[in-house]
Amino acid sequence: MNHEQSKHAIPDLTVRIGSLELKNPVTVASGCFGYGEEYNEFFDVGLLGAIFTKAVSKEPRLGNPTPRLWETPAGMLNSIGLQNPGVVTFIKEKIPILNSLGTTWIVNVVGKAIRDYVAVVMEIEKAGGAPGYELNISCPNVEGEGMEFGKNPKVVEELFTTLRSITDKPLIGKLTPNVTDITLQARIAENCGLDAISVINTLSGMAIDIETRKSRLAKPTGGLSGPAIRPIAVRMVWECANVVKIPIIGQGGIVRAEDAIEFIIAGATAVSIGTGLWLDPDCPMNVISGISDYLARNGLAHVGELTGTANLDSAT
Amino acid sequence: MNTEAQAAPPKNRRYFHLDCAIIGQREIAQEHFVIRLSCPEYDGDFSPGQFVNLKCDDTPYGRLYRPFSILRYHKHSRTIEILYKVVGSGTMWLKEQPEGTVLKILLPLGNAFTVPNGARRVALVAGGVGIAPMIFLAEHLRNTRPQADVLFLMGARAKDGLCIPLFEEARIDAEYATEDGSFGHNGLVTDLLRQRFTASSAEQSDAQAESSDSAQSQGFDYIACCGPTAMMAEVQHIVEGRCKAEASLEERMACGIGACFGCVQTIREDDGTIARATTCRDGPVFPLDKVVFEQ
Ligand SMILES: Cc1cc2nc3c(=O)[nH]c(=O)nc-3n(C[C@H](O)[C@H](O)[C@H](O)COP(=O)(O)OP(=O)(O)OC[C@H]3O[C@@H](n4cnc5c(N)ncnc54)[C@H](O)[C@@H]3O)c2cc1C
Ligand SMILES: Cc1cc2nc3c(=O)[nH]c(=O)nc-3n(C[C@H](O)[C@H](O)[C@H](O)COP(=O)(O)O)c2cc1C
Ligand code: FES
Repeated sequence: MNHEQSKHAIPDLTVRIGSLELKNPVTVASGCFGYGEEYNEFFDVGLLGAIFTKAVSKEPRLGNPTPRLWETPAGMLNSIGLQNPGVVTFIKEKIPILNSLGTTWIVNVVGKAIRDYVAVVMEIEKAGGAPGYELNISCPNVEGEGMEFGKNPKVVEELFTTLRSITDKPLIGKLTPNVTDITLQARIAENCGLDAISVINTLSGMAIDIETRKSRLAKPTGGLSGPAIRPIAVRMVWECANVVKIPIIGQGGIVRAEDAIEFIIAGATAVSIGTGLWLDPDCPMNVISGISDYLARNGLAHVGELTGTANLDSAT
Repeated sequence: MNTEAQAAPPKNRRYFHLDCAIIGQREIAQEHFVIRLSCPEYDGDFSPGQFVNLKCDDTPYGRLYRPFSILRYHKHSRTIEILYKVVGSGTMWLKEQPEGTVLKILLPLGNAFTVPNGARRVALVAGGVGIAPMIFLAEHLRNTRPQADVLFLMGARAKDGLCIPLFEEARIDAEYATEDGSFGHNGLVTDLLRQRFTASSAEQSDAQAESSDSAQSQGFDYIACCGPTAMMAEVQHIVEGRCKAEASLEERMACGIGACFGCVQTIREDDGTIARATTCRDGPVFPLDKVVFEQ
């Protein structure tokens, strides 16, 4: 077998997110994988490209009352309310575990105000740092009348600029789809020097019990995830890829390899799986091998060759 | 929840996602089915209180897995028995599946009941399909604690929901209550518990049931319950922490292994602090006196 053939036989799956090298483009989404320890009792999570942790805030959060979940056609609504043990406990109890899992991890950071994000990142940096930080801007900004951070471009810019000034580690902006034009957030992220963007977080949704006329969740609204949102997520990844050069971590409804490949073709460098874990717990491994097979079948040596290759000439 | 535990090495697997085949199903009460599943690849065991997540559809983009308690586990033949009530799309699909259908199953999930070693007088209180883990526990106690005196109290809306054939085939004597009075006590199963639960149970539990006359006492050393939330809240009210009691709780689930925080229960810790614990990993069995029932 000559060099060319062997190169094509085993495609190179490594991808870069800023200074981070991932062994493959398949990651697991924030809030769907705890802090890695539970799923590590099920499969070797070290085989994943990266783990995005459950959100971490400055103070511990109890989260919302139940019901927190409601199943919908090909998807689900959730209103967890960012339950987490707070940054101090995260550092003490979760980082040692994350460091033992055999792959890189990125901590998802939330706050009620910009200074909370700063506090979380500074605390973690003091304790040795995380391989990367993902800034969740889908949470309510208490100082902005409770509106999602991501809905106000000025606040997003201030948040991203401030965080960029306190760490050189890979910073990823997790964009909210609950806006008219998601590319605004993407441009701000790139202009502020962020290393990548995650596209998309859950779509705000609602379900009502027609007998009691109450919300199916303890809160009036929740975040919609799963295959139901995939076409919207693919479209938003494509829109963002058209306006920024920084890597995009595509997510929203990935269950099978072809779903992930669709995101990559639309412009994603890497992908994240959340709800898919609960529709098929084996899916991360199947997606990794399915991408590899697809690349080999199409004579592509590196997964990066597939990114942003949508052939939309005939589309109107 | 606190975790002093180090991350388990990947080879130290606790959860398995396997194939299981339907060996048979039978309707033991209206819309209540006992399904037997052969799971040859699973070589572990189950304890009463544990559950499995079953994929109840045949499309990749289908439904979330459905949690069901173990009714019985036959380790030699690796056969799982589940009792399910048809309530929605997943269980409706399941009841139509013929013998031989292969389903995906995630197991073993959750914790188990912890009956104290010296327990002599045990009460098991079940309501509706909450009966499944209670039958498992009753059979387990019969095998492992032959000296224990087990009182089984079973309640349902009407006679059919009592699943009497299950008690008959398991040779378990129970006292029954129905809300419509169609069988047994006319009222709630908790009425039966209240009648039996006298103040003497307090001293009884303090004495750890070591005295020889404990078996004659009206008190209980241990109570387990599983059923509607209102029933378990009432058991909590009756027991008032006077003896060890545990409840197996339900909540809507997604991951089943403690990773999504979707299925939490509100728990009051000994020091009074409020915590939210996952039903699927920290539970489904919780110390009854710590559960905060929010209605
Ligand atoms: C730990 C545990 C053990 C259980 N053991 C049993 C058992 O032994 N026998 C039995 O009949 N039922 C049991 N249940 C309830 C059972 O999971 C539901 O009846 C079942 O999920 C209904 O699915 P469906 O598609 O028919 O209903 P649908 O109403 O169509 O389901 C819609 C969604 O709601 C969820 N859901 C509906 N009812 C419940 C419920 N009561 N608890 C949690 N989630 C629910 C479903 O999982 C699904 O995600 C248990 C639940 C839990 C949490
Ligand atoms: C139960 C649940 C909890 C989530 N928690 C978070 C979170 O804490 N932070 C965050 O940025 N995104 C969170 N998300 C969003 C996911 O990371 C992901 O972006 C979204 O669900 C879309 O992907 P999916 O369809 O594959 O789930 C959560 C999603 C779910 C379903
Ligand atoms: S179902 Fe995910 S934590 Fe329990």
